[in-house]
Amino acid sequence: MNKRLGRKNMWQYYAMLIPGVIVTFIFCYIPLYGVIIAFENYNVGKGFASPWVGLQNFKYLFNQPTFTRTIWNTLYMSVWKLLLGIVVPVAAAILLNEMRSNKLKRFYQTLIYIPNFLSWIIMAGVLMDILSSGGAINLILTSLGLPAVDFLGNAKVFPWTMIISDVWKGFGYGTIVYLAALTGIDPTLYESAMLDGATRWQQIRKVTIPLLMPTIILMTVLSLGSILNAGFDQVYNLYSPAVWETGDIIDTYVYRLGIQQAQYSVGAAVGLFKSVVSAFLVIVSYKLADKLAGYRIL
Amino acid sequence: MRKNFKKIIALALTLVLALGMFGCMAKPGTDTASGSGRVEPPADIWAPYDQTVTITTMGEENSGTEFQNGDDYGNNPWYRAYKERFNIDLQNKWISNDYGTKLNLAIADKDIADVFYVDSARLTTLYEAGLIMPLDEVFESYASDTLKQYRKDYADTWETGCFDGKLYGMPQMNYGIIDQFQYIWIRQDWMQECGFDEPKTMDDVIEIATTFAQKYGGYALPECQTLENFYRLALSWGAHPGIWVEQDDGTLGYGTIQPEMKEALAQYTEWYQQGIVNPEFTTLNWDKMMQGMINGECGVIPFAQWFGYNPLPDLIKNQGPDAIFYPYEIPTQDGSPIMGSVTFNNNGYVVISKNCQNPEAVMKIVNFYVYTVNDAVGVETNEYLSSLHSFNYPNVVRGTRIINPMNDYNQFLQVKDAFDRYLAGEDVDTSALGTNLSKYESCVNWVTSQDPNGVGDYLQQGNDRSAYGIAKQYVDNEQYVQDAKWGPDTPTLQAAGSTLNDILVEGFTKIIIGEKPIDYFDELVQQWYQAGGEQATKEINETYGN
Repeated sequence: MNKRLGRKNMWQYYAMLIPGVIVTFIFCYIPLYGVIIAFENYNVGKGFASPWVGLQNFKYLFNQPTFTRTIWNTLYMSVWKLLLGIVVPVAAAILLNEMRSNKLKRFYQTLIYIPNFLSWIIMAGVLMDILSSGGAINLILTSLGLPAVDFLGNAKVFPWTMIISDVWKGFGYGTIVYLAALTGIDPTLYESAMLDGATRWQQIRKVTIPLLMPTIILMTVLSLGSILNAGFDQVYNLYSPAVWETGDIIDTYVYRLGIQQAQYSVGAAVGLFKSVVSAFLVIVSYKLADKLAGYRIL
Repeated sequence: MRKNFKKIIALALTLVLALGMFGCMAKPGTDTASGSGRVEPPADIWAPYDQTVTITTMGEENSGTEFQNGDDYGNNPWYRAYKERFNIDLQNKWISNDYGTKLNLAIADKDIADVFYVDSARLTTLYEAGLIMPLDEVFESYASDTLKQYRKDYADTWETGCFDGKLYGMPQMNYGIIDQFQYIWIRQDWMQECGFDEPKTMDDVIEIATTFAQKYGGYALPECQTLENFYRLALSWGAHPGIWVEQDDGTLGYGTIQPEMKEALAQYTEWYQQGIVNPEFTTLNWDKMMQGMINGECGVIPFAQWFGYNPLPDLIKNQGPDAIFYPYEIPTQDGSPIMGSVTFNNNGYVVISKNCQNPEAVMKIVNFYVYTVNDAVGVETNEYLSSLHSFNYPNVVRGTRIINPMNDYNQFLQVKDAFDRYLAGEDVDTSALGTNLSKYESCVNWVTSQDPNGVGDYLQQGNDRSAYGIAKQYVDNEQYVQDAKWGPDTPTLQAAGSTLNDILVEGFTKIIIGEKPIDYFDELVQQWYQAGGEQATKEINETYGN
């Protein structure tokens, strides 16, 4: 931003913000009133005038013996998904970027992007077939002399089945974002690096990755906000009671508890809990990124 | 003075009567405006209105209904019958494929139709919010004798629609306890090939099942994530999972955590370890398990009476009519007669909005449904009754119907009798069958042309070894344990019932697959109590205990 432009000269810009602010206020701030459902024993007939019960819904939730494990399961899965969701697309983007043939590059780019368009309902059906005991993956494993793995029925393996399949399905999208960032890197930087005698590997380490960092940080901070969403569609369609121990996440638990039993208040309580934790995580991570690496979004 | 007083009363009454009649002629029905206070005793509850009365309703989309000749939810044999017989115009405020959610929104908006159906939780919600009217007066004046008889015969169920002794929701009842029993279904052609007789003990069942698996591939016992086959087999040990039973000390307890379940679980775990139970069951949902059945992977399955409707027709289309399964009684461990589990089963409640102008018109509609399944047989033509009851048309009046709980029992007697006479080569008077004609016809279709669509009715009620044939004994001999919770869920069960069941299913699964020892069962019971089971048990004993 040009510093010479004072606030006085910027009123037009602020005016242009007004419609957006109004819409946000109407659709995002006014409905916040509904949060009181979490502190009530909600009756649809009485609406917001339902009886006030204070923190009872939260107490009920945390007294459930099977709730606390879902927080851990959620964090475990989503932190790994987050980490691998950065490493894999960045690596893929750099590899694609190094390709000489433009045709091949586009071909692979499209190929890895396709799974992203399939919904988890369809994907779950495909995965169940591929990962079953007589499925393709286990046939390959056994023909190599390795033991068959119960990918969806073994509680120890299940979270990793979720993490890897999610990263596999989604990394095409991340790759495109990073590829776009790569094309924005000034080619003269590579030219001068080459003149200095830098190898391909050195160019990647010293030029590409540092210049990708702002994008990586941005993507990470954005996804931190949803760290307590470990992928409801995916887990719900693939899990079973045998793997609830490690595979039951907050959203699937609440779905069984709140929606199926029409416990709106408890559902709202969990939603509020998740929002508070997520907001806290976003603020902390943003401050850390600013402090440790000196990166800011704005 | 006293004489005068009487005269005045008489005069006043005459006037009221005259005015009432005048009112009826001028603007039918509006004289009963608020419905909660002034309901005129009718001359004839079956009489049509002089001027069309409009009643609104809200309904659920039903994929089973096969609309004929351009019919739809707003124009179908039922709605036309209301118009023709009573001059009542039943109009749909909306029809939704997500009835529960849409209904919640309607309740939140206080924008409800005159009549619709609700579950017990929403009945309470509507009552507490004061959106529905008490029905006692309109019921007394306008309910048909048959409907009143229902109320007498099933007083305990009708009681669940009452608050403070006043009726707010008319229970829609169910098709009868005869449809609630469990069987072991065994594939007939394999049974004959292997030379097996009807199983007398559970060991016989397992022998049959394992022999099938060795000979024809697949696995001996199917199962899925929800362990429903295990829950069915547990009846053999005298366990009653899913219902509330009287314990030895006289108090009520949950059937799924009783010691009998532990015994059953120990045996089932052994079977799983021996490879008798499908080793992959943890990853199979119900649909996938059924897919296995349709592919002919299995010749023995514990199942309910409707196995012949789903999946058997698909299996027969796949593997031919010889692949038919027959139901057998579940053998008990000690050889005593099996005791089934019978639950409180009520399809919902008919409620009337407090703003409804013509609650008596609603009663007429409800009466008419009751009439078609009882008194109309022999009075109306079979074609007429079939036009109302075929193609799943009764589902379009889901909100205003009350089912006869003896429906399936009587139906079985009629169909079986007619079909027996058909098989004996006698003349069958089908006009007496009324709405049951189609059941009889599909039994005939099955034996004459092996029509897979007829096998369901044939196995449910047509032959000597039909599911209802077995269940009739259970009903007649009272060979069942009735759920002690004879009514809606208590608050804790409403809030946490399925979460509580989840704890047990998860724990049982761990025991079966060998992750935990059998004694983990006791720990599980403690967990269940902790998570709300204790509170639920307390409530059940308070509400339903002695």
